[in-house]
Amino acid sequence: MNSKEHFDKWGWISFLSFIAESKVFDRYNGKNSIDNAKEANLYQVLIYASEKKDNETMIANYYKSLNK
Amino acid sequence: MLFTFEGNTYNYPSTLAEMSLRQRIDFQQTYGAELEAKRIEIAEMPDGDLKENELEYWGVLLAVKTFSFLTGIPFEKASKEISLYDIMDIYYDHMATLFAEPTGKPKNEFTWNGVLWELCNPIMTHDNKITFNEFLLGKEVMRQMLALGKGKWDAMPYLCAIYLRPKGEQFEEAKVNERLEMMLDLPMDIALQVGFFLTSLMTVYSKAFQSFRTAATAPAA
Repeated sequence: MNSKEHFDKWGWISFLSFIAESKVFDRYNGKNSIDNAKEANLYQVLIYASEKKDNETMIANYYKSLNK
Repeated sequence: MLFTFEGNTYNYPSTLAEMSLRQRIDFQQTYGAELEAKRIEIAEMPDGDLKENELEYWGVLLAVKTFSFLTGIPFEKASKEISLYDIMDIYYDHMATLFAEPTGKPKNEFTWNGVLWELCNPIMTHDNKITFNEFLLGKEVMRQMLALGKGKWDAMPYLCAIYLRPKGEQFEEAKVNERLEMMLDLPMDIALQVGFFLTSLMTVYSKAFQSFRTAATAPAA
């Protein structure tokens, strides 16, 4: 299974895991990271995901430029 | 509206408020999917008289099947014993609009069964109250329905149960299953507003999600 097929099958769970693993939306309420991510505000989650990926792309581009 | 035939009176819905989501789903399962498939088949035919004839026949079939479904008069009886002129008249005057895309300004609040129900604002701003879980559940319902070969109408009761709530109520996953049966009786004028809302919501969020998806599936450099 390639990454696209994997994403089509597990996309939203992958996305939830990606958000939960960051622990950005964790609160000290006795719930785990997955439950806290689910309860987080969607707008904030999407902004975070978008910004994080932009940041990673920017860093990857920087390293690529060093190899040229 | 009432239609009298052979001494019997048949009642059929002529406004969206009189038609339930359950009826729309039943129509889709009984005739809708088959009619859609036929329409696609005709659209792929080469232009010409044959295509025109097929299209006209399809239009008549749509009217008679819709008439039969909404009045409850069996298709065989309706097609053989009731004047086609009468059927076409009733279909175009009262029934065709029930299946047309709604127009006008979208609404966010509705009174149903004496309760004020609310849809969240789909516009993406910092004060939007939609949780990540509501979005994930909606997308998962659609993904699973498509995987099972079902269409958007089968998913609508779930989506209505997720996104339509009594005004002021917070989202609770447990209430989705509780309200599924109730949502089947949702009048179509409200169900179509949920459809409007979802289209706006998914367009906005799909754009935001696309950047994540592209990055996540891109081959490693």
